[in-house]
Amino acid sequence: MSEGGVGIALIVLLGGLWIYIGIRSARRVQDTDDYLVGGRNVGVALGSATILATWVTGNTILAAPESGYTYGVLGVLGYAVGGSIAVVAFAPLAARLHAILPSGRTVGDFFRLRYDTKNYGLFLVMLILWDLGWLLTQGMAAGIILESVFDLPFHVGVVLTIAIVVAYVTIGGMISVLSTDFMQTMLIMLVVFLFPAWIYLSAGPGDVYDGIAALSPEKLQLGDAGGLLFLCIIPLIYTGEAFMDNTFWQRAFMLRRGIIKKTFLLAGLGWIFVPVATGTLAWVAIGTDMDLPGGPSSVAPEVVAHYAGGLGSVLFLALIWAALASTMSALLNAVSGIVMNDVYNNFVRPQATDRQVLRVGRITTVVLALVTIAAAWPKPMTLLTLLILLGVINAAYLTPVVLGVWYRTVNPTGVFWSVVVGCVAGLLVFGGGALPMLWFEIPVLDLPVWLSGELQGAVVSFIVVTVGVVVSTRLWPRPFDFDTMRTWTRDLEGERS
Amino acid sequence: MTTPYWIWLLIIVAGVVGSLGTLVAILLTFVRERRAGELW
Repeated sequence: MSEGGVGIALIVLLGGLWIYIGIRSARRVQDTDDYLVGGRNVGVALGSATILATWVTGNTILAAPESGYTYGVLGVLGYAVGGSIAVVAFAPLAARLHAILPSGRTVGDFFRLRYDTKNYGLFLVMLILWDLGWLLTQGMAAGIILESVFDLPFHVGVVLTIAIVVAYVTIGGMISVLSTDFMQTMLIMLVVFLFPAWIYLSAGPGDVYDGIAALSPEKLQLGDAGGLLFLCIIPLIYTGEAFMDNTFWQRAFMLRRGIIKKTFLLAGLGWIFVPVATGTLAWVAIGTDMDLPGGPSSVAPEVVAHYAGGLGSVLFLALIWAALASTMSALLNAVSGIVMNDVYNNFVRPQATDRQVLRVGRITTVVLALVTIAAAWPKPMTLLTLLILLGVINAAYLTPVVLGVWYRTVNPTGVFWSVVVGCVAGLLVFGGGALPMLWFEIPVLDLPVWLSGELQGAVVSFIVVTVGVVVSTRLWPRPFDFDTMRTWTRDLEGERS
Repeated sequence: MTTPYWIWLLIIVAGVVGSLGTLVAILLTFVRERRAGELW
């Protein structure tokens, strides 16, 4: 059998196993709480595994080495520390959420109860855009990987991957995601451990280090300006993503009381080793002056193919595919959660029964999968820019989330206008003075080079929103009673009983 | 400042050992919680 054939057989085998486990565990689903937050009694093992599986995306495995190839030592450390800080920083937030909103299901519940309708509406639009963009990138990446490595046509790869994920997420929701995420995390950590060890033993770490020192000594520098900027700003972007994204909020609500901080800490510390392990693979390419026909983004697969041969390459790409599939399953459940819990049960049919909400969630999962396939069909590379653009919006919501969870007097109108102004300012900086509109730009003003770019846009957005929210709250404080969230909990439980 | 060899090597070793350590930690926790009926 050819290497491509082995790869496809491996994917079908893994996919079949996940479908079997996902559907088998779906029998536990009795109500919407099971479907969205896994029954609210999840322990440390399944909890940390699902956080890891969701947060280890295809990007973690491909972009961390790219970052290591571009920025050297600082690139790997920046990527790893940034993503890890986001998960660890979410630990106290998750514990606080349990205390103030014990019956929450989605991040939308928090925005609806803590702020007002205009904030809730704006946030839902931003969140759905963000999650759909993320879903699209995972779907497209799966198609591209299966096409480039196993010669499977792009569209077949996209449909195959999404069909496998939908098969178990639709019926079992979070319960199925938890079961499959555990296996996917085990696979990811095993492969991530094996390859760097194998490759560095083959290449010889001393030779690789000497090669980097001779060929690209700047990649060993710890004072490189570009690398330091990346190291300082990337935690802000990642933390913004985590604090806004519904996948994290669902995982906060699902955990058993008393183990929340421990679970997020274990996941955050465990996560750091994935980009470190895959990122250091890029240093082999630098130190041995390896030719990269696919560019820096393909550095990890190229290094693996060179040292581990065809079979190793297949195994490594199965790892990337597992990472994509696990993130996709979490996202499908997160977006369907927003639609069923926030859109349907709040705006369309507030009196819907639990069974009706659950049915809408399952239908939404299938519809979202079809939308993702349709959006990915023309391979719209321009749409991928959307995800980078939304980094500005992630950074904008960091302060409203943090202050809203801990402080009583945050002004909702101040939050709304600060987010609007902060996003526009951040997008202008992102576009170098022009408002980026995916397919075209609207020129507004001239900005210097140092104040233009993705990282700068996120920083400006964060600063503008933080100043706006703090100033408006100091000038016009609006007291909020956190007991209303707890009361809502009791009301909700009363309705269910 | 150039990264010394031993720090550079430490980063690689940390990635490898840390991944294995995380895998083992989650697996052992899984076994313990399963026995105690605290998995979910």
